[in-house]
Amino acid sequence: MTLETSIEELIQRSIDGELSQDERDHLMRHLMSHPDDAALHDRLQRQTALIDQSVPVPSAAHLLALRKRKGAGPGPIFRIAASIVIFAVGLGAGAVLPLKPGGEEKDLTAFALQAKAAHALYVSEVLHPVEVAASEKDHLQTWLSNRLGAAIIAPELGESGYSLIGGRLLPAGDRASALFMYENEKGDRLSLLATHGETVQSQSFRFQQEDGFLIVYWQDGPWQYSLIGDAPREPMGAIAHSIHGQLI
Amino acid sequence: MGNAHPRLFMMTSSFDIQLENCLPDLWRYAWSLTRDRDAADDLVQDCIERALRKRLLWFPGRPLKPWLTKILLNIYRDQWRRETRYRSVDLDQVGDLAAVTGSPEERLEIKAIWKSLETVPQAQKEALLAVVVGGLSYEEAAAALGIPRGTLMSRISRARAKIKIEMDTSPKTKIRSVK
Repeated sequence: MTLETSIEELIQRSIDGELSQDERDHLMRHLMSHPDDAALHDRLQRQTALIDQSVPVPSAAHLLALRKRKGAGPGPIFRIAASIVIFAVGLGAGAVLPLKPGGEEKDLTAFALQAKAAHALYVSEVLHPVEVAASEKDHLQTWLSNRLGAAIIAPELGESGYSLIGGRLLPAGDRASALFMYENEKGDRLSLLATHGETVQSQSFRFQQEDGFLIVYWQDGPWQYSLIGDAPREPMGAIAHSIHGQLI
Repeated sequence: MGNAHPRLFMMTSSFDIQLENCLPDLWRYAWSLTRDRDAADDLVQDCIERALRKRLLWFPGRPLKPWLTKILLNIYRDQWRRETRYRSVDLDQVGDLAAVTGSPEERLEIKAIWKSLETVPQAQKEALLAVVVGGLSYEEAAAALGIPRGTLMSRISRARAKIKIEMDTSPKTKIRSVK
C-alpha cells in the first residue's frame, strides 16, 4: 500500500507529522537516492517551519484575560458571602419566598420545578431509583461531569443522616442535569439536582412547597441547584447550606 | 455498564481543561488568518463565548479542539464576508511576526511567505494554517473544516506549491540565490 502512495504525498505527510514508521523508512530511503525530492522536502519543511515560528505566541496571562472578559462580575468569594448573608436573613425572618418567574429567575425557577418532577418520579422507585449506584461513586461523578461539561461532585450529607444511593443523568430543558439521590435510615429520600445554566448569577436559597414536596433552590455562578424532599424546612435548609458549602 | 467505562471517562479531560489547553493554538490560528492581534483577540473571545453557550452540543469524550476551531472559523468567515475585503494588512506590520530573532535574510523570507500567502485561495489557506499553525492533525483539521481528509491534503499541497512558486519568482529570493 505504501508503495502506491506518491512521493509528493509522503513528503507532505512527513512535514505534517502524519507518517507511520514504515512510510518514514520508505521515504528516507527514497530521498537518499533522489536529491531533487530531498531538496523539495527540505524546502517545504523550511517554509512550514518559518510560517509556524513567525506566528506570535500569546502569553498565558493574555489568554486568561480574554477568558475573563466575558461574564465578568463579582468574584466567587463575594457571591458566596452574599448568598450566605441573604440566606441567614431569610431564615431569621422566617419568610418563604414565593416563586415568581421573571427575567433571569425564570430559568432557575423552571429548573426547580423540573427537579421536583424528577424527584417525584424516581423517589418511589424500589428497584431503579438511580442509574449508577453509590458503590460506583467515582464513575458516577466523572460520567456526570463529562456530560455536564464541568466538574461536579456528589456532596456528603453524613451529619443529617442521609447517605448517597446513587445518581442519574436527566434533561433539564435543552441542557443536561445531574441527579443525586440520598436516603436516611427511615427510608426518607432527598434528591439534589444540578445543572450548568446559561446565565451566570448568584441567587440565595429559595424555598417552595409544591405537591407535598419542599424544594430548596439556588444558583451559584453558572450552577443551578435544587434540593427536593418531603422533610420539613429544617433540616432541609441546613442540608442545603451544607451542600452549598461543599459544592463551591 | 462494564468496568471499562470509568477508565475511559477518566482519560478524557473536562470541557474546561480542554478549552484552556486549546487557547494558545486557537489564538495563533486566528492571528495567522487575520495577522492582527486585536482581531485574533476578538475572534478567540467570540469563540469562547459561543462554545460556552453551545457546550452541551459537544459530546464529552470527543476532542474539543476541532469543534472549537470550527466555531472560530465560522465566526471568522462571517466577518470576512462582511468587512475584510478592503482591509489589507500592511506587510510592514509583519514586524509583529514573532521570529524577528532570525537573520535579515530569514526575515525577508518570512515576509515573502506571508505576502504570497495572501494570493493563496482562502480555502487552501485555511487548510494549510489549520495544520501548520492551528496544531491540528489531518483528521482534526478535516473535521474542523468539514471536508474529507483527501480534500484537505490536496488543499494543503496546492497552498504549499503556490507559496513556493511565489517565492521563486520574487526578486529578493533571486538576489539571495545569486549569493
